[in-house]
Amino acid sequence: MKLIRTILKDLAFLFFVLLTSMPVYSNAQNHRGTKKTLDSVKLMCFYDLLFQPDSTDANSKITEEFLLLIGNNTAYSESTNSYLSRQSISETVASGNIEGFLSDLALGRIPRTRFNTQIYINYPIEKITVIDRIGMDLYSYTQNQNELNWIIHPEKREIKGYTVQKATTTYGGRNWTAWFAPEIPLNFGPHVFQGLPGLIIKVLDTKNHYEFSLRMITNPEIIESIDINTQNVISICKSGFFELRDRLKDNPHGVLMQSIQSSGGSFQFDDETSAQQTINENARRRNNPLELRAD
Amino acid sequence: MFTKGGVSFLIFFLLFQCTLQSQTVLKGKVLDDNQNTLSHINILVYPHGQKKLIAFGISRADGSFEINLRSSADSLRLEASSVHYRNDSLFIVNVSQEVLFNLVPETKNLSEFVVRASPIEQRGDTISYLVSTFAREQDRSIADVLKQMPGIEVEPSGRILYQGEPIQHFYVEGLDLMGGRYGLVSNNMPHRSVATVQILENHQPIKILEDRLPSHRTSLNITLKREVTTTGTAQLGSGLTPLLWDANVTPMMFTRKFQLAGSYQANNTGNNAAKQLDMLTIENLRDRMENNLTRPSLLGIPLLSPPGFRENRYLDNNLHLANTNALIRLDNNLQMRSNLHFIYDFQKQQGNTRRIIYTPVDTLRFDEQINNDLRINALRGEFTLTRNTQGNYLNNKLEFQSHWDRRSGDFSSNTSALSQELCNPFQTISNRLNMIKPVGERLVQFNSFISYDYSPHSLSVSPGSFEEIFNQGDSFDQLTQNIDLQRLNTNHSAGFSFGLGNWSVSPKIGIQYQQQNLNSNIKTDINNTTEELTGFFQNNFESRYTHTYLQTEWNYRKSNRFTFTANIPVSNNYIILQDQEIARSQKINRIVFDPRLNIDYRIGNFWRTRFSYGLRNHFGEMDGMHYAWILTNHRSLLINDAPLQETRSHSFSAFLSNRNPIKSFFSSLSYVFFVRNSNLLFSNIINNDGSTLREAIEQPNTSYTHNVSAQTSKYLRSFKSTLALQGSYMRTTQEQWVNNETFDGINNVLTLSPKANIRFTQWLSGEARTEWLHYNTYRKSSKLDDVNVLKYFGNLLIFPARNQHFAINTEFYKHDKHNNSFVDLEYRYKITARRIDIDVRWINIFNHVTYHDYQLSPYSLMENQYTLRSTQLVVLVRFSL
Repeated sequence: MKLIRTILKDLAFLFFVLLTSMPVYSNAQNHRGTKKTLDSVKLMCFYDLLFQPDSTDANSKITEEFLLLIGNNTAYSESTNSYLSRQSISETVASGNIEGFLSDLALGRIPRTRFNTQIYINYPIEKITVIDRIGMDLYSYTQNQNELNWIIHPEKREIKGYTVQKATTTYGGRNWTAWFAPEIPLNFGPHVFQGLPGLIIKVLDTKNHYEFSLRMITNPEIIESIDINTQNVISICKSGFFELRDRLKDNPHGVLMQSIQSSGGSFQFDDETSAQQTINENARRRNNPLELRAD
Repeated sequence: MFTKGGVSFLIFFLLFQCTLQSQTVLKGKVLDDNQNTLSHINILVYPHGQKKLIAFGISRADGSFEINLRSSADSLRLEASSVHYRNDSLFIVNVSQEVLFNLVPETKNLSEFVVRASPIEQRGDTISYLVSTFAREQDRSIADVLKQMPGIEVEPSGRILYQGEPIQHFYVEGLDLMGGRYGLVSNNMPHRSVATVQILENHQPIKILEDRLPSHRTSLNITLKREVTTTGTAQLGSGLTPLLWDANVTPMMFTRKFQLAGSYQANNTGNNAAKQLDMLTIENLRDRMENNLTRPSLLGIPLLSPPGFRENRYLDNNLHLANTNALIRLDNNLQMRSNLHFIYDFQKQQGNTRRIIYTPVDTLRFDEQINNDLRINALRGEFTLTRNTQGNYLNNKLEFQSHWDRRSGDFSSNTSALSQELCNPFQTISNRLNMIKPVGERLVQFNSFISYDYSPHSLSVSPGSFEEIFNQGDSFDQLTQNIDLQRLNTNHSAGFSFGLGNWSVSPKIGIQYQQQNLNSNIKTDINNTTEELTGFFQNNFESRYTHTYLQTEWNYRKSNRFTFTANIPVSNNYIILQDQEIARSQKINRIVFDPRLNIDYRIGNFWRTRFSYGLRNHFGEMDGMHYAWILTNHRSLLINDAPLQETRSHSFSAFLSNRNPIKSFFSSLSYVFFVRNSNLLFSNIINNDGSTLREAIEQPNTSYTHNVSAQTSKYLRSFKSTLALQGSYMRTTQEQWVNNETFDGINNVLTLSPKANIRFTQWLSGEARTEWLHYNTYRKSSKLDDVNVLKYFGNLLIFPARNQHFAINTEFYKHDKHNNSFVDLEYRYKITARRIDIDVRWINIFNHVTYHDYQLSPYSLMENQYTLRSTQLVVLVRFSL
């Protein structure tokens, strides 16, 4: 997923070159919109994700933080950076508090992310809504909450002071092991991982490419509600989304150029050859999305 | 024989197997004490007396749950647990059954789970935005690393985009050294000197506006690792044939109070490095347009218009460029910046043209050879003083330019041969002041602009042309045109903005005054006697233009879908033109209204439509007005003794697009209709030697232009290819007056261009594009001429290893009878550990040194043949200082 996102992100920016001729549209695109509040936040969890963007290079591992907002009936998970960047932009626009925003930036809170996935658990009821970005466009699809068929194992461990028990499942083309704490009676976890009788403290795939570890649990501060914004989001089925995502793998450069030219622009790299090499090489190195396939 | 123990083991084993296979299904409901169903309650199943969880269920929205389990245990303990209710346990026999839980509310104190305090404030620290984390081995400059940062894109021109929009300022340690020309810094500063890159999103560079006017523009700041950073890059290249060089040394120094960047570049490889100094921001472009700052070019020698392909195929140059930029922070709010540039360039142009002119009675053909030397010498300087505080904003920019350019050319045709010399120096000085001050509740913006420029140009043609006029038809030694043009331009305005619900309104009032003095004379050298011609060969022309304007922009926006913009300017235009020697003058006083309307509407996620209408009244170019003759080039003698040209143009455009990223199918259609009314028509009298006498005559006329264009593209996954098709049709109808006959000239241009982008394998990809163009021109209804052009471009890229690439570029042009093809090879090797790049470029390997193209006008066809650079091989090495 990262693969596509990063490339398309790169594309998106080129793409915007063309859109400068349509300034109204491009300004309005991300910053304004209608929010719908789904739930109030009762508890916040933060997970560290250690992941390997290039499946062929174990040294490529990097980390990113994910947040999990737990409400009365729903839960929400997203990369913290992705959340903050979306939030700070819309808040700045709404309040006009540029100074506060700038001081945040000056303090180094520049949110940068490789994950743009927003996950709403139990919205709609017994389903999961996923909003994700490919290039400039936001898409949403739903899946069933009970799609993860967890198998409980007798093994127990202690992590961060919690007694946790092992559960396994397969999802997105990977085999996953989760460690959950029955003493925290919440059915949630990071990303789409949920549905165990206790908060997921750690979840990792058997190849060690993705590993989420709970860092902290806290009462809600700052973030008070779980909101969804579906304006300008394109509805799609899950397999359609993955097909779209994988389209990039075949010809990243070609897809890029198409999206530029489709908006009436023309674009030429100064050094066409190394641009192509860079685009394709970046795509090659980001070959290991969390969900390898749509199942 | 079985022992007793053996038998019991066997029985036990069988029983055990049996119990393992039996599945227990526990169904049930969870209710609260008011019999309301409860969801999200965990139902945990333990074997009785054990703490080992063996199965679980979670109650659904209707409070129901279902648990399947296999266990040998005789009895089970079911525990219902959740955050909002007290835990409850039930002991049951391990058989399928229905279970009911009634839970008692008990909100557990969630903070008991808190293991650490919230560190949202510190979260930023955990995110690495350090340059070192984004830099790859092969990266050299900070621009290379910027390209890696999500959200940032660097265009080939050096322009930096964030989220697709150009950044407004490029700061180093909060100081904007380069103004718009930051490409010099970003492309040359090694990323190892840089600690962090900060993106200042929605950054309002003007402090007084910070709380009042949200900005959507982004600026970029880089912070350095050390207090004093000296850095730079160098590039050295050499090649054959003839001896070629390409050098670039860019040293820089940065501190928090003082910054300096310089560069020296020289090449003769056709690399037009002067482009690096081009302004990269939108503001600069707008400024140049509003205040008519283009260099006057009344006189000229015939140049070859550049062919429409890469400059380094034809540009025969010898360029030296030096520049220094310095910035001093005087105190926290006051900065001073100076930018100085010096450019020397010597360019040669060689080619042939064939002009075919269709006069009403005849078709004239001229074959001409052009051989030009262009010398460009320029010194440009810019001094900027900025005060930027919460209370007010002031920016004053003083700019000067001095060009002392010369052009000389040999021109020969089937009828004549002559040489020409043009001196076109240009001096200009301008001052621009922008100020923002609070006046009552609102902030008012004041702008002041004053410029003066001086162009004493002279053109000499020898032997003299227009013999009929200047020497009773006999040839003579030399004809010289001198002009002396001085222009004063001032523009002062004040404006503010306010919001009204969904509307935002920005009124602005201003006055612009322009004055031009044009003196010209023509001299003839006949038998070594120089004579200055009088009467209608001398201009003493003065023009004054006063433009008072009130313009209001109304902007309405509803959600993201609908935007309406109306720009309603009203202006009074007072123009005086006079020539005291000839005793001619005219005055114009007009109030004009030039509205512009724009509607933008999005339908669903994929469709978008836009309409716009604009009316524009324009008063002729004063540069072009003169009551006496001017020799603008050896074959063109012009007079403009007519009322000032007044034009009124209506333009209408409609645009519809469909972007369906799910299907990777993108299409758009646009239509533009343009009507232009003018009070003047230009009469062209074409002599048999091809020279033209051009006169403006008062005769109202209307021209029409229609333009339709469409494009569509689709990604085909099975072929890993993108296919695209573009097409356009343009038709222009314009009244023409040639050799005392008027007629409607019609030009049609049709283009069609299919394209494909294919990735064959990981290491091999290619692109192919074809362009077919058809031009034709009609006089009334009879076709005069048509031209077909076919262009083909292809490239193949091979990536044998990560630090190498190999490219083959091919181009093919077919212009009627002429075929041209070019093939280039390029190989790059990166020594990543040492951050050195080595490029080997073999350009134009088949050594095709001529190129043909065509230009069509309503009464003429021009065929150009260019002399191109011959085959060349260049090796380039790039490294950091």
